[in-house]
Amino acid sequence: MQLLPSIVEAAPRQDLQDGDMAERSGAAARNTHLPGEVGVWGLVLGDALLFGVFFITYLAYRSQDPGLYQFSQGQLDAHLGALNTLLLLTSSWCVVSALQAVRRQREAVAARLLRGAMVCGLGFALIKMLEYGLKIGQGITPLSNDFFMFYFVLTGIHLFHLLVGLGVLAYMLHVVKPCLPAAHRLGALESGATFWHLVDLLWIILFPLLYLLP
Amino acid sequence: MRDLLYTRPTLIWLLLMAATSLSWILAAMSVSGHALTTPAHGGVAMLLVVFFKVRLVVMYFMEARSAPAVLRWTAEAAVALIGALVVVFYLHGARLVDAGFPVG
Repeated sequence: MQLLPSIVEAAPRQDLQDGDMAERSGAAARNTHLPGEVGVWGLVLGDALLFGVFFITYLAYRSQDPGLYQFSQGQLDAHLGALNTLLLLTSSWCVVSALQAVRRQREAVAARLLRGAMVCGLGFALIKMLEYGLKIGQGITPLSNDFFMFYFVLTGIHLFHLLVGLGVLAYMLHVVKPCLPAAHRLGALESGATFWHLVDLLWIILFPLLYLLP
Repeated sequence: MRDLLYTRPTLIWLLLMAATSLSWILAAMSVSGHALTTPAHGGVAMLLVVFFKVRLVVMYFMEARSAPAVLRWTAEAAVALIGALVVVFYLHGARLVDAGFPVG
Protein backbone atom coordinates (compact mmCIF):
# COMPACT_ATOMS: atom_id res chain seq x y z
CA MET A 1 0.00 0.00 0.00
CA GLN A 2 2.24 2.79 -1.24
CA LEU A 3 0.67 6.13 -0.45
CA LEU A 4 3.70 8.29 -0.78
CA PRO A 5 3.64 9.35 -4.45
CA SER A 6 0.34 11.15 -3.94
CA ILE A 7 1.68 12.73 -0.76
CA VAL A 8 4.80 13.97 -2.52
CA GLU A 9 2.67 15.47 -5.28
CA ALA A 10 0.42 17.17 -2.74
CA ALA A 11 3.28 18.48 -0.65
CA PRO A 12 6.52 19.30 -2.46
CA ARG A 13 9.72 18.25 -0.70
CA GLN A 14 10.66 21.79 0.37
CA ASP A 15 7.33 21.99 2.19
CA LEU A 16 8.16 18.90 4.26
CA GLN A 17 11.07 20.47 6.04
CA ASP A 18 9.99 19.81 9.61
CA GLY A 19 7.29 18.42 11.84
CA ASP A 20 5.44 21.71 11.62
CA MET A 21 4.82 21.21 7.93
CA ALA A 22 1.14 21.96 8.24
CA GLU A 23 1.78 25.29 9.94
CA ARG A 24 4.25 26.36 7.28
CA SER A 25 2.07 25.30 4.40
CA GLY A 26 -0.97 27.09 5.77
CA ALA A 27 -4.44 25.89 6.60
CA ALA A 28 -4.97 24.32 3.17
CA ALA A 29 -2.22 21.76 3.78
CA ARG A 30 -3.33 20.94 7.32
CA ASN A 31 -4.36 17.30 7.86
CA THR A 32 -3.09 16.23 4.46
CA HIS A 33 0.10 14.31 5.23
CA LEU A 34 -0.12 10.71 6.40
CA PRO A 35 3.23 9.84 8.01
CA GLY A 36 4.07 6.32 6.82
CA GLU A 37 1.78 3.51 5.72
CA VAL A 38 -1.81 2.94 6.82
CA GLY A 39 -0.92 -0.67 7.70
CA VAL A 40 1.76 0.46 10.15
CA TRP A 41 -0.71 2.76 11.87
CA GLY A 42 -3.17 -0.15 12.12
CA LEU A 43 -0.45 -2.24 13.74
CA VAL A 44 0.42 0.59 16.14
CA LEU A 45 -3.21 1.14 17.14
CA GLY A 46 -3.87 -2.59 17.64
CA ASP A 47 -0.70 -3.00 19.68
CA ALA A 48 -1.51 0.04 21.81
CA LEU A 49 -5.03 -1.27 22.56
CA LEU A 50 -3.63 -4.72 23.44
CA PHE A 51 -1.17 -3.12 25.85
CA GLY A 52 -4.08 -1.06 27.22
CA VAL A 53 -5.77 -4.35 28.17
CA PHE A 54 -2.49 -5.51 29.80
CA PHE A 55 -2.28 -2.26 31.79
CA ILE A 56 -5.80 -2.46 33.24
CA THR A 57 -5.43 -6.19 33.93
CA TYR A 58 -2.24 -5.43 35.88
CA LEU A 59 -4.02 -2.69 37.85
CA ALA A 60 -6.98 -5.00 38.60
CA TYR A 61 -4.64 -7.66 40.00
CA ARG A 62 -2.70 -4.96 41.88
CA SER A 63 -5.91 -3.83 43.57
CA GLN A 64 -6.37 -7.33 45.05
CA ASP A 65 -3.09 -7.26 47.00
CA PRO A 66 -1.66 -3.71 47.02
CA GLY A 67 0.74 -4.46 49.89
CA LEU A 68 2.48 -7.26 48.00
CA TYR A 69 2.71 -5.19 44.80
CA GLN A 70 4.08 -2.16 46.69
CA PHE A 71 6.67 -4.27 48.51
CA SER A 72 7.73 -6.08 45.31
CA GLN A 73 7.84 -2.80 43.36
CA GLY A 74 10.27 -1.51 45.99
CA GLN A 75 12.68 -4.28 45.01
CA LEU A 76 13.04 -2.86 41.49
CA ASP A 77 15.74 -0.32 40.69
CA ALA A 78 13.76 2.77 39.64
CA HIS A 79 17.00 4.56 38.70
CA LEU A 80 17.69 1.99 35.96
CA GLY A 81 14.07 2.25 34.78
CA ALA A 82 14.30 6.05 34.63
CA LEU A 83 17.63 5.90 32.80
CA ASN A 84 16.02 3.60 30.25
CA THR A 85 13.15 6.08 29.79
CA LEU A 86 15.62 8.89 29.09
CA LEU A 87 17.47 6.66 26.61
CA LEU A 88 14.29 5.85 24.66
CA LEU A 89 13.14 9.49 24.65
CA THR A 90 16.55 10.48 23.27
CA SER A 91 16.39 7.74 20.64
CA SER A 92 12.96 9.04 19.58
CA TRP A 93 14.37 12.55 19.22
CA CYS A 94 17.19 11.13 17.06
CA VAL A 95 14.63 9.40 14.80
CA VAL A 96 12.45 12.53 14.46
CA SER A 97 15.51 14.62 13.65
CA ALA A 98 16.73 12.00 11.16
CA LEU A 99 13.41 12.31 9.30
CA GLN A 100 13.79 16.08 9.24
CA ALA A 101 17.34 15.71 7.93
CA VAL A 102 16.14 13.43 5.09
CA ARG A 103 13.45 15.95 4.18
CA ARG A 104 16.25 18.54 3.87
CA GLN A 105 18.28 16.14 1.70
CA ARG A 106 20.96 15.72 4.38
CA GLU A 107 21.19 11.96 4.35
CA ALA A 108 24.63 11.76 6.00
CA VAL A 109 23.31 13.63 9.08
CA ALA A 110 20.21 11.40 9.07
CA ALA A 111 22.39 8.28 9.07
CA ARG A 112 24.38 9.58 12.06
CA LEU A 113 21.15 10.32 13.94
CA LEU A 114 19.77 6.84 13.18
CA ARG A 115 23.01 5.30 14.49
CA GLY A 116 22.55 7.42 17.64
CA ALA A 117 19.01 6.04 18.03
CA MET A 118 20.35 2.50 17.67
CA VAL A 119 23.01 3.12 20.33
CA CYS A 120 20.29 4.38 22.73
CA GLY A 121 18.13 1.33 21.92
CA LEU A 122 21.02 -1.06 22.48
CA GLY A 123 21.77 0.74 25.77
CA PHE A 124 18.16 0.15 26.83
CA ALA A 125 18.44 -3.57 26.00
CA LEU A 126 21.72 -3.91 27.89
CA ILE A 127 20.32 -2.18 30.99
CA LYS A 128 17.21 -4.39 30.83
CA MET A 129 19.37 -7.54 30.63
CA LEU A 130 21.41 -6.23 33.58
CA GLU A 131 18.19 -5.72 35.54
CA TYR A 132 16.96 -9.23 34.72
CA GLY A 133 20.37 -10.64 35.73
CA LEU A 134 20.33 -8.78 39.05
CA LYS A 135 16.80 -9.99 39.85
CA ILE A 136 17.50 -13.60 38.93
CA GLY A 137 20.75 -13.38 40.93
CA GLN A 138 18.63 -12.38 43.95
CA GLY A 139 16.44 -15.43 43.39
CA ILE A 140 13.58 -13.36 41.93
CA THR A 141 11.88 -15.00 38.93
CA PRO A 142 8.47 -14.73 37.22
CA LEU A 143 7.27 -17.43 39.60
CA SER A 144 8.19 -15.47 42.76
CA ASN A 145 4.80 -13.73 42.93
CA ASP A 146 2.10 -12.11 40.75
CA PHE A 147 3.92 -8.77 40.61
CA PHE A 148 7.10 -10.30 39.25
CA MET A 149 5.10 -12.42 36.81
CA PHE A 150 3.65 -9.17 35.41
CA TYR A 151 7.07 -7.46 35.59
CA PHE A 152 8.88 -10.13 33.56
CA VAL A 153 6.04 -10.74 31.07
CA LEU A 154 5.24 -7.05 30.36
CA THR A 155 8.87 -5.91 30.18
CA GLY A 156 9.71 -9.05 28.16
CA ILE A 157 7.01 -8.30 25.57
CA HIS A 158 8.22 -4.71 25.45
CA LEU A 159 11.83 -5.87 25.05
CA PHE A 160 10.73 -8.04 22.12
CA HIS A 161 9.16 -4.93 20.52
CA LEU A 162 12.41 -3.04 21.15
CA LEU A 163 14.51 -5.75 19.46
CA VAL A 164 12.15 -5.70 16.45
CA GLY A 165 12.48 -1.91 16.53
CA LEU A 166 16.27 -2.16 16.41
CA GLY A 167 15.88 -4.27 13.27
CA VAL A 168 13.58 -1.58 11.86
CA LEU A 169 16.20 1.09 12.65
CA ALA A 170 18.83 -1.01 10.85
CA TYR A 171 16.52 -1.18 7.83
CA MET A 172 15.99 2.60 8.03
CA LEU A 173 19.77 3.05 8.03
CA HIS A 174 19.87 0.98 4.84
CA VAL A 175 17.12 2.91 3.02
CA VAL A 176 18.34 6.36 4.05
CA LYS A 177 21.00 6.16 1.31
CA PRO A 178 20.42 8.87 -1.34
CA CYS A 179 20.75 6.34 -4.22
CA LEU A 180 17.21 5.08 -3.52
CA PRO A 181 14.10 6.90 -4.89
CA ALA A 182 12.96 9.70 -2.55
CA ALA A 183 9.35 8.49 -2.41
CA HIS A 184 10.41 4.98 -1.41
CA ARG A 185 12.80 6.29 1.21
CA LEU A 186 10.40 8.72 2.90
CA GLY A 187 7.56 6.19 3.10
CA ALA A 188 9.78 3.52 4.60
CA LEU A 189 11.48 5.94 7.00
CA GLU A 190 8.19 7.39 8.26
CA SER A 191 6.73 3.92 8.79
CA GLY A 192 9.85 2.78 10.67
CA ALA A 193 9.85 5.95 12.78
CA THR A 194 6.18 5.39 13.70
CA PHE A 195 6.98 1.89 14.98
CA TRP A 196 10.01 3.07 16.95
CA HIS A 197 7.94 5.79 18.66
CA LEU A 198 5.42 3.08 19.66
CA VAL A 199 8.25 1.26 21.47
CA ASP A 200 9.05 4.54 23.25
CA LEU A 201 5.49 5.39 24.29
CA LEU A 202 4.75 1.89 25.61
CA TRP A 203 7.75 2.22 27.93
CA ILE A 204 6.61 5.73 28.97
CA ILE A 205 3.52 4.01 30.46
CA LEU A 206 5.14 0.78 31.67
CA PHE A 207 7.88 2.54 33.67
CA PRO A 208 5.61 4.39 36.14
CA LEU A 209 3.10 1.51 36.31
CA LEU A 210 5.73 -1.02 37.36
CA TYR A 211 8.37 1.11 39.10
CA LEU A 212 6.85 4.30 40.51
CA LEU A 213 3.10 4.16 41.18
CA PRO A 214 2.37 4.72 44.90
CA MET B 1 23.09 21.07 12.23
CA ARG B 2 21.78 24.02 14.20
CA ASP B 3 18.58 24.06 12.12
CA LEU B 4 17.95 20.46 13.23
CA LEU B 5 18.49 21.37 16.89
CA TYR B 6 16.31 24.46 17.19
CA THR B 7 13.05 22.72 16.30
CA ARG B 8 9.73 21.95 17.92
CA PRO B 9 10.62 18.23 18.36
CA THR B 10 13.71 19.30 20.34
CA LEU B 11 11.49 21.42 22.60
CA ILE B 12 9.10 18.47 23.03
CA TRP B 13 12.05 16.16 23.80
CA LEU B 14 13.30 18.57 26.52
CA LEU B 15 9.77 18.72 27.99
CA LEU B 16 9.53 14.91 28.02
CA MET B 17 12.95 14.57 29.66
CA ALA B 18 12.00 17.17 32.30
CA ALA B 19 8.65 15.49 33.04
CA THR B 20 10.34 12.09 33.38
CA SER B 21 12.97 13.49 35.73
CA LEU B 22 10.28 15.21 37.81
CA SER B 23 8.27 11.97 38.17
CA TRP B 24 11.47 10.14 39.11
CA ILE B 25 12.35 12.73 41.80
CA LEU B 26 8.78 12.82 43.22
CA ALA B 27 8.71 9.01 43.40
CA ALA B 28 12.10 8.97 45.16
CA MET B 29 10.79 11.56 47.68
CA SER B 30 7.72 9.42 48.27
CA VAL B 31 9.85 6.32 48.93
CA SER B 32 12.05 8.25 51.38
CA GLY B 33 8.98 9.44 53.33
CA HIS B 34 8.93 13.00 51.94
CA ALA B 35 5.83 12.66 49.76
CA LEU B 36 4.18 15.96 48.82
CA THR B 37 0.68 14.46 48.47
CA THR B 38 -1.37 11.44 49.50
CA PRO B 39 -0.44 8.27 47.54
CA ALA B 40 -3.72 8.29 45.56
CA HIS B 41 -3.39 11.95 44.56
CA GLY B 42 0.29 11.46 43.74
CA GLY B 43 -0.52 8.37 41.65
CA VAL B 44 -3.26 10.11 39.67
CA ALA B 45 -1.02 13.15 39.07
CA MET B 46 1.74 10.82 37.88
CA LEU B 47 -0.62 9.01 35.47
CA LEU B 48 -1.98 12.29 34.07
CA VAL B 49 1.59 13.43 33.38
CA VAL B 50 2.32 10.05 31.76
CA PHE B 51 -0.60 10.30 29.33
CA PHE B 52 0.24 13.94 28.60
CA LYS B 53 3.71 12.67 27.62
CA VAL B 54 2.17 9.91 25.49
CA ARG B 55 0.04 12.48 23.67
CA LEU B 56 3.10 14.63 22.99
CA VAL B 57 4.89 11.61 21.47
CA VAL B 58 1.87 10.69 19.33
CA MET B 59 1.14 14.22 18.13
CA TYR B 60 4.66 15.61 17.61
CA PHE B 61 7.05 12.65 17.20
CA MET B 62 4.65 10.35 15.31
CA GLU B 63 3.32 13.45 13.49
CA ALA B 64 -0.33 12.55 14.03
CA ARG B 65 -0.92 16.28 14.50
CA SER B 66 -0.50 16.91 10.78
CA ALA B 67 -2.10 13.62 9.67
CA PRO B 68 -5.55 13.29 8.06
CA ALA B 69 -8.32 14.06 10.55
CA VAL B 70 -9.49 10.45 10.86
CA LEU B 71 -6.02 9.32 11.97
CA ARG B 72 -5.45 12.28 14.24
CA TRP B 73 -8.75 11.90 16.07
CA THR B 74 -8.47 8.12 16.27
CA ALA B 75 -5.06 8.62 17.91
CA GLU B 76 -6.45 11.28 20.28
CA ALA B 77 -9.36 8.98 21.21
CA ALA B 78 -7.08 5.97 21.81
CA VAL B 79 -4.78 7.98 24.12
CA ALA B 80 -7.76 9.43 26.02
CA LEU B 81 -9.51 6.03 26.31
CA ILE B 82 -6.46 4.11 27.54
CA GLY B 83 -5.50 6.98 29.88
CA ALA B 84 -9.00 7.18 31.38
CA LEU B 85 -9.21 3.40 31.85
CA VAL B 86 -5.80 3.28 33.54
CA VAL B 87 -6.76 6.06 36.00
CA VAL B 88 -10.15 4.44 36.74
CA PHE B 89 -8.57 1.01 37.35
CA TYR B 90 -5.84 2.60 39.51
CA LEU B 91 -8.44 4.31 41.72
CA HIS B 92 -11.27 1.76 41.65
CA GLY B 93 -9.66 -1.54 40.61
CA ALA B 94 -10.99 -3.44 43.63
CA ARG B 95 -14.58 -2.24 43.02
CA LEU B 96 -14.37 -3.18 39.35
CA VAL B 97 -13.14 -6.65 40.27
CA ASP B 98 -16.01 -6.96 42.76
CA ALA B 99 -18.37 -5.90 39.96
CA GLY B 100 -17.11 -8.72 37.76
CA PHE B 101 -13.86 -7.68 36.07
CA PRO B 102 -12.10 -11.05 35.70
CA VAL B 103 -8.95 -11.80 37.71
CA GLY B 104 -7.60 -15.32 38.21
